[in-house]
Amino acid sequence: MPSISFAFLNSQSEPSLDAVAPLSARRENLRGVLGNLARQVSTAVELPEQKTPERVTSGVRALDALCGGLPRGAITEIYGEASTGRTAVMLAALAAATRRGETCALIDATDAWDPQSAEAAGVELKRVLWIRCNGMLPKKEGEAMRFVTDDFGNHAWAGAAKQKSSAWTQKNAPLYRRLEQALRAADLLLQGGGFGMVVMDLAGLPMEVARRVPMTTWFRFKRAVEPTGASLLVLENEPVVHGCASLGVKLNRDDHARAGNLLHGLDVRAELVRDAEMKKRVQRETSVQPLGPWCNSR
Amino acid sequence: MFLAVHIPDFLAEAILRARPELRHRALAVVEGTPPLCYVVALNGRAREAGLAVGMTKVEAEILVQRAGVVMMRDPLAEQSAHAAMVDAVCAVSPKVEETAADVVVADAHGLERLFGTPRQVARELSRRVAEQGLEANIALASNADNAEHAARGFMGVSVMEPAAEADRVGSLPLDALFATEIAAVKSGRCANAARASQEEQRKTLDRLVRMQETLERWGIRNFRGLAALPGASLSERLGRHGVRLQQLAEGKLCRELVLSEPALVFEEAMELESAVENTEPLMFLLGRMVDQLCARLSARALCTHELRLRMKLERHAGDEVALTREELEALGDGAITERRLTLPVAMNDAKLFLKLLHLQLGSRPPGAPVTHLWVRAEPARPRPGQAGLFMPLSPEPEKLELTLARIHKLLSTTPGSGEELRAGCADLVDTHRPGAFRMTRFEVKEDGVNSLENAPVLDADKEFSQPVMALRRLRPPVKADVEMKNGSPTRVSAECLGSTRRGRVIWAAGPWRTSGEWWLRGEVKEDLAQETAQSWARDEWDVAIATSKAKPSNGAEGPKAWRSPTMVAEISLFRIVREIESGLWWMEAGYD
Repeated sequence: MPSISFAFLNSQSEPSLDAVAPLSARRENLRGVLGNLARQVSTAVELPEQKTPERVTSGVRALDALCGGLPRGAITEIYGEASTGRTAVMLAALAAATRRGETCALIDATDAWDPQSAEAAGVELKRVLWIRCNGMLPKKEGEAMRFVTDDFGNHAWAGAAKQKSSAWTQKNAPLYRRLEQALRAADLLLQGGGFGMVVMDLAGLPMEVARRVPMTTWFRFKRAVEPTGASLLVLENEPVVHGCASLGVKLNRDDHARAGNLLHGLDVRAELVRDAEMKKRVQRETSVQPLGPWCNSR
Repeated sequence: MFLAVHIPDFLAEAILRARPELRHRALAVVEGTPPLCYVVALNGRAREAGLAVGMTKVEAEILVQRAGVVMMRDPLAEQSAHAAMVDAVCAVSPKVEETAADVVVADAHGLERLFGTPRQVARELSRRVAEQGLEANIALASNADNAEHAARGFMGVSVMEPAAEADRVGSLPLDALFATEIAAVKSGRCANAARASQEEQRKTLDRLVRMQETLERWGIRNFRGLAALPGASLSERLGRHGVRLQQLAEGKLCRELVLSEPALVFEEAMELESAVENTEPLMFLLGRMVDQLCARLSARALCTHELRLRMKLERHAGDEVALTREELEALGDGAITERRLTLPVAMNDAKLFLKLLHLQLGSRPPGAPVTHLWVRAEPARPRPGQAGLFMPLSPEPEKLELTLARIHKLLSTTPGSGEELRAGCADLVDTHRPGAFRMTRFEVKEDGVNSLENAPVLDADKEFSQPVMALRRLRPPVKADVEMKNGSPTRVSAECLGSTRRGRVIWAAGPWRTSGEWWLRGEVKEDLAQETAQSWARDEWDVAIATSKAKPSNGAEGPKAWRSPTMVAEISLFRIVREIESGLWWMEAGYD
């Protein structure tokens, strides 16, 4: 299509100008002709202009230096193994958002959030809507299995159907229900809008469960969060959002810092694995300090 | 100028307001104790079908056949209709007299500045009345009596021009005059009737009926005829009451309005002919009631911050078997159950209210067929908020309320039912108990930030806080098997969230003994949940547990990578706890 357009433009332009005018003038002329053409010819579908998302601070200086902050209207994926500081980073981001006066929501798939730690991190609890998924099974038997079919599509159904009779699936039905609740709550919050930051904490769920979420669901979330101006922060053990995330940060722990008989803190290394803008990998060091009141109580 | 609103066939209109689908059918309203029920009101179609007031219910049913319905009088609907009429008039004029159940008169002086000409005032009032689901006659005249007579005598909207008023009033039928007088005596508005006993009131009514018969015999059919009679002769034959009626017919009397200040009670009630068992038809009825309630609130420029739904339940035939004697006595004729919607801000959105009621009834159905419905709105002033350019992101309270209701349904919890809230705001409790908190209702915090001066100052240094190591709690704590050596844990095993945490303890710190609230044994503190009022005494350990984990081999991709996986050690930090009293070990939280 561009080559055809170009041939057409060449045929319309004056040959004397090509020979005489300098390159900059010819470029300007070409821009003008293209502009006129764009005004005359309309496309069937106008693609929305891709704007560079605004970034807000993550609350951790080293992390901001690494990735430039958390993008608004996009998904940020933070993952790592247990005790790698994922929750600490999430609390810092929540603290920064509530300090800005924004209303935030935390979808806690495993009901693991500790309000005391959050307050110690500087989170203004009154500004955080905490949704504690309970995995409560519906009254009708077998509804948990239907959820796998309805919400997770054929992809999930194929896997779930194979394991339908297995003890593992039966045992983990409440975990699926928790995941279902988390996804539906995220849908409701993003549709409602108005939140500055929405956190989906899936870090406590086994990966076998978290992997069930198909990419179409994340793609839907990506589209839903774009116009809201909210930062959707997803916490996991391993990456599940993949290409739908604008920013992906992997956390690794070098060691836990201890002083004598006290747990002093964590040494965490953050790795930028995905950035839709920067397209580069950078490694920087950051550290997580100990929880003050806990140390004092010893 | 005075304006008057009259609802013809008020008893029928009240029912039609609650059930508008009957407007195109014949409706006869009956009153009395079965089987002695008589028709007391009809709509136009019923009159066309040949029905008349005073017929028995059986006669009415035979005449109506399938073209209409015969219904019992509904006092609840009549109260609601009257209140709606008053609200509609109050939206136009503040000086209102509740003349009768079906008539409201108001002072219209000065309204031209708000609405324009008298005709425009009448049009505005007509629109307001129609919004309330009522069909009424409206009249504007130079005095209150003329306005009331015209509203009773002329259909639709009548505006009496001062020049032609005497002529138009003269054409009114005498029935309008006597209907006004009878209503005045019944309501006690008449000066004599206010002090009169019931017996005297009955005598006054009889006298009025006799006077009407006398005038009919004389061939007097309208106001003009009565006004033309010689005053002295009329006084000789009908006495001073006759002279007063003549003055009213001439439009010469000017009375003062007995102004009433209508109470701000917004309640819609409905008695159902047959009990409703399912939610869907119930929502259909509630939709109408909520619409009417919101229209009434709008007429008074008000909103509501609390909506109460009361339902009277039918007593089941099987209740005698299922319930105990005490429960049956308590149930009586039928139990009344209540649902309450408490809103964070004042709102007036019928669709939103209906959705919230639907969600609440979905999670807490009434449990028995419903026979009566009451919906009441607590009035509140509208929220004077205005979004500012510099306000931080915050959800709209109306949308948030609906979202929260949907989330509560998703989590199978009902706020206000005594269950623990699963979606809300965490509030720390004043105690040393580890992990103690309580859930409160989430509300958007409004700081009144609507200008640049009040906007939060974002200091670059204050944007960052030193990250703190956070706990991820296991709720409830999981039981752990702990092996001890030399007073220190060496191996820990626990089952949590579908996976087993089992491994060697490579580092441990502790024990730290904590105890508290042993002084509250046997007591229950009111502000804390009962469980948190129990004492605790325990030893806490911070442990680093090394567990082996299979990882795909390096360099290989896909399923091949898992053929010869590499076993790596994963080290996680946990807090384990030993209860001193029972000696049991618990895994309480992980560090992250």
